[in-house]
Amino acid sequence: MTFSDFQIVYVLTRGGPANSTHLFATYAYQVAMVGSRLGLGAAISLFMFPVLALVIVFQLVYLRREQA
Amino acid sequence: MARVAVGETFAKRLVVYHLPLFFFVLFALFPFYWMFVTSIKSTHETYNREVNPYIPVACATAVVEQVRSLNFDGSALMENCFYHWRTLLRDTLFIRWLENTLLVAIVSTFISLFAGITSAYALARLNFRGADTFGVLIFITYLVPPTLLFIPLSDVIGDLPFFHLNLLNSPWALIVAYPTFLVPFCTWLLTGYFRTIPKELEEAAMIDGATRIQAMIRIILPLALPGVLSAGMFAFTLSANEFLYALIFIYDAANKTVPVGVVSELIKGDVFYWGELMSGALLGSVPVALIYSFFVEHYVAGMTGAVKG
Repeated sequence: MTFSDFQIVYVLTRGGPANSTHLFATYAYQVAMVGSRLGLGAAISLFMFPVLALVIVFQLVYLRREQA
Repeated sequence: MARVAVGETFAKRLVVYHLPLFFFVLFALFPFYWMFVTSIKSTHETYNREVNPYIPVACATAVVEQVRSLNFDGSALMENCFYHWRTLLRDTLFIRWLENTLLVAIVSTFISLFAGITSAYALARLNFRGADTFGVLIFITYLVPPTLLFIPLSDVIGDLPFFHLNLLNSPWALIVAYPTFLVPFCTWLLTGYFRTIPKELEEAAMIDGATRIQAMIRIILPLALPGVLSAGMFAFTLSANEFLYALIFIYDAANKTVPVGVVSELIKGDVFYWGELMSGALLGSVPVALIYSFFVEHYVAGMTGAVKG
């Protein structure tokens, strides 16, 4: 899922220049691992959760409909 | 040519099938060509805007010269063509990264296949209470991405519950971390595959005196081999290409895997060692591509989930 992508952004820009190309995942990595503020980083990555939960619900509904 | 329909001339087939296929293949193989060309150019040539970027001039002239004079000169070839390859294999830890990647990918693939086969069989066949709920829960864990899990997981790996081991900076960190997404993946894929195998086959085996375990191992597993193979291949590529966990759990250059090692050791600040990067990328991706093309029939059968005959 591009929404939670890390790899491409990290390899191409590392979120730079001046933190202008971060996604949630890369920013969480930047804060938690590079800046060693684990709690803040975890909070940032948790911001992805509502959207991901929605996606999961839709996928499950779709899967159920296909099986029925 | 029994299969060619009436009115389907060679020219028409050329336009309808071969031409689009040709462009598609060109599109698919171009990255590999680009990696190869860049890996055999000198650094100077890579940055030179005056020359044609698609042709490695220095290397090509050296090869042509040697073929013309029928005088093989290995060291000249080394300097003109494979300079970056030599640097990568001799002066960096690339071989170590390759070993680490293989170890981690193979071990975690086998762990996940074992867990995946057993749990998928249970979900597909044993109608225990809450089997559906379990299936949905496993599907949900598959959909939660590593980007959400890596911070808590780094804490867990640093002090493994029950064992009180610090696995950080060892390949074992990755071997225990990768099944977190591989097991749900294998289970989900194999549940679907097991469902396509007729129940009657193992019922017949059990009437003939086999236990359920025997029926599973002797009857169902051989029939499910295409599914198991494709699940294993997918699990292998997923764990060999994994980036985030490998980046976070491993610090020492000697313990890194190929994707992380190449990115973190061959890019120093603003300096990109393009030749080494590209040869490393090629060496890392070609084996996987070969395995795929080798098993492609099994893999297609595994995806469509068909038991024939």
